[in-house]
Amino acid sequence: MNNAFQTEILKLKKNKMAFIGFVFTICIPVLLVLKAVFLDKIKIDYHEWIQTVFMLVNLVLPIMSGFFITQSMQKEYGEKTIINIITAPVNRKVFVFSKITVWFFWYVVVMIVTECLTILGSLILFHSQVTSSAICFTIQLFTQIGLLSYIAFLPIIWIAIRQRTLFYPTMLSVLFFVLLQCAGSQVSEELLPVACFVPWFAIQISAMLPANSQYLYICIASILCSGLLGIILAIFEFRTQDL
Amino acid sequence: MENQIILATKQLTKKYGDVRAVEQINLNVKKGRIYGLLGRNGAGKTTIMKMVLGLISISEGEIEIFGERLKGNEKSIYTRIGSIIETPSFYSYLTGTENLEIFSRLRGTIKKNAVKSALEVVGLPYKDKKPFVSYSLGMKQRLGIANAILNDPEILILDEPANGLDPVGIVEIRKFLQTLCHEQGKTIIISSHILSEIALLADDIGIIHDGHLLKEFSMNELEEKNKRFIEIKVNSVTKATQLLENMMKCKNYTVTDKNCIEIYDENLNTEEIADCLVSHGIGLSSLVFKHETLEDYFTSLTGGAKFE
Amino acid sequence: MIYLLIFLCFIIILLLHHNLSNKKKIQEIVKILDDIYSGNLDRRLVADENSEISSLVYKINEIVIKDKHKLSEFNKAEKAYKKLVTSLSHDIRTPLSTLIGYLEVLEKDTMSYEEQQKFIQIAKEKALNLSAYIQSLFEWLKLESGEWTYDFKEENICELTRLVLADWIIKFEGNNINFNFDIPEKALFILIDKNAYDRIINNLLANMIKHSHANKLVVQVTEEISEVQIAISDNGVGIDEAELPFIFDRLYKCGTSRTENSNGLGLAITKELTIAHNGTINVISGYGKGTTFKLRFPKNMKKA
Repeated sequence: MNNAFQTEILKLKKNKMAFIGFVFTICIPVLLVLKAVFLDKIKIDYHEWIQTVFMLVNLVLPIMSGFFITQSMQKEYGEKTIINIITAPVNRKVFVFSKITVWFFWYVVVMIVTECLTILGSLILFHSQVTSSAICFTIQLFTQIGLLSYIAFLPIIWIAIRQRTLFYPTMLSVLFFVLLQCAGSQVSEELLPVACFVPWFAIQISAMLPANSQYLYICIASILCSGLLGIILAIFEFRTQDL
Repeated sequence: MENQIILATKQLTKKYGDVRAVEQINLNVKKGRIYGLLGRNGAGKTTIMKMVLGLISISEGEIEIFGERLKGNEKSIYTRIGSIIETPSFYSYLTGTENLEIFSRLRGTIKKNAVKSALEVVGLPYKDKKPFVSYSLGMKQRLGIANAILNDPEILILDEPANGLDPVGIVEIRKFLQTLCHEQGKTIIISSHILSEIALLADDIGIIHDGHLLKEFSMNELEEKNKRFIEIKVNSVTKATQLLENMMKCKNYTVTDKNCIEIYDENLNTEEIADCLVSHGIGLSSLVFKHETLEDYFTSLTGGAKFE
Repeated sequence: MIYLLIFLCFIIILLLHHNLSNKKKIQEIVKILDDIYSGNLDRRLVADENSEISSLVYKINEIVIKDKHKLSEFNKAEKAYKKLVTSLSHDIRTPLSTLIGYLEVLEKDTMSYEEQQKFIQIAKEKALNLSAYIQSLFEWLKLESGEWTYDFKEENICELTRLVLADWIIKFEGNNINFNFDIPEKALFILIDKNAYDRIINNLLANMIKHSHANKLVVQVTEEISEVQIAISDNGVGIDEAELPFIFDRLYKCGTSRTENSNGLGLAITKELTIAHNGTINVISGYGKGTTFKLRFPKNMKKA
């Protein structure tokens, strides 16, 4: 497993999609800082700025993340390198896990760098308003949503394995999940109980709920289910797949 | 010392739904020899190889390698097998060295600088900057071979390794494979539809047709069994056959063409035949000793028109 | 506090896992070594280049590969030896049976006196040839098994050469060979075994007389900076260029000489003896172009 993971890292180095996704996502706080400095006539409010960053990052990062894993899997099938990998031999389960792990690794790196840039940006723009508790809150929010989003999106890898060389069904699924994720922030009070059971709605909902709400547990549970199901289906699908 | 069987498939079958792609294959590959899987495109050679390598699931049957059942021992067995399946498949934007480094990490290595040695053996540069996508087909095949021999495996399974190579490349590969087998004692299983190449290279042959293994034999057996016959070209086949039967008491012949007869009776003297025919006014334009080639044997077994 | 505990547990689990996986790896290695021990020298141990046991594993592989080479060399040598024995027995049996044939004919006593004499002469020649052959054979076997003892002394190579050639002059004249010896008056000393040198020159000259059908022979001794060169050239039929690399192999007979009662040992012995003196032997020849053998001996040789 260690070796499989390390080879995935080696592949990352020349992976254009990984780099593009990384750059696009971290650009958001950077660009918003530049916008606030150079373009905005009226001084914008700190919370509003953070919200904007937050909203954009949670739109762009899942998309880039989905594209990343789609391209990563599709390349293996398209270039038939997957044949050389499996005959190395690499256990099929280990292969799927190594993809999941390197995906997570990339995701966490992008997430952390974005958070850092956001905090830096907020310090530059609003240094008086930025308290340590505000920073903690920002980190906690970003990280929570980021991790939950990653877990909820795990079924994408199953779809990518199923689709082999075709990338557009997987991409469309990614966009669909992102749509659901964004829609989650617009859910009304009445639909809340139901919406919690849908993992992708639950991502945003979890951020909006008070800390003791039982709905929080439902949200987290449904997201974890989605993640677990995604992993299990992916392994199952790959195990019997004819290459 | 009789070579032992190093790889055997027992009733190996692959079904796609109701369609039986490959049926009841019983391969027997002997250690230290080159085994040629011969068959037309689509006969099932690649499917069999993929099943052996665990790329395709097996519908029925068993595989035994190194005297052990494959199922349950995959990791230790596949480490001892190197392969090229389908066109050499590597990452386009990585260089040859980087590609091999990735796969050597996955396989494990048997010596220091294994990647460098493997590249040297096949004649490719070490740590150069050319990405795989800009390799010529010959270089791609060579990288594929380098990857296959990285671990000094005991068995090599090569699916059409000479595919797309120019004549010089084909000869190079043939010599290389012969060295690997005869000097280093490796067992090589190679599939091809180029009869002439297999005839020069293989020690044993398995003929696959429509998903069935028609026959397994060694090239030595074939040469001995080879029907030696006399091929005569005459201007009147009917008269000639009459003479053969009545004057020379020969019944063992076939008419293969409108002017051509193949005589299988080995006891006949060619001088007598020529004499007999000519003295009865039959024009004899050619008289040649021939023997059946691998191509003829293949065609007779698969009952079809010759192909390339 | 509890986080620290969890962290420590995590570390402990990692260490245990590492330990277990090492144990497993060692077990696998032992299993593979068992397979190698039972004769499968093609088996290799595989390891990650960065793991702790990698250098151990690589060394084991090197040893196994070396063993495999030795074994295959040994098998090749055994095969070659068997071939040698077969061809030697043939080389002795054939002239011997011819000899016996002649003697049987003589026994019948149905011939004239002249015929008898002729046959006796032929039989004697065949017997002498066979004796010479067996003599060469034993010499060669002695050389090969390392039992030939050399007696290196500092000698004047020029004088030695003259002495050897003196014995041959009669044979040259008898075969109508014009000879030219170009040997310096100056004394050139090298460490040499007199008998071995005799053998070397005798072999080369015998070869020449038997095979080259030459009528001109030149023997030249020249002094170079660190060596002495002895060149023996004839203007005979020469040796085909394609065969030149093989003529010093034991039992090799050039195409034309297969029917004659010669043996391939002469040149092989010559070469062995030359090498024992730290010398070299080359041949320059071509079909129809004559032959030149060049011997080189170093002037300052350490006693072997």
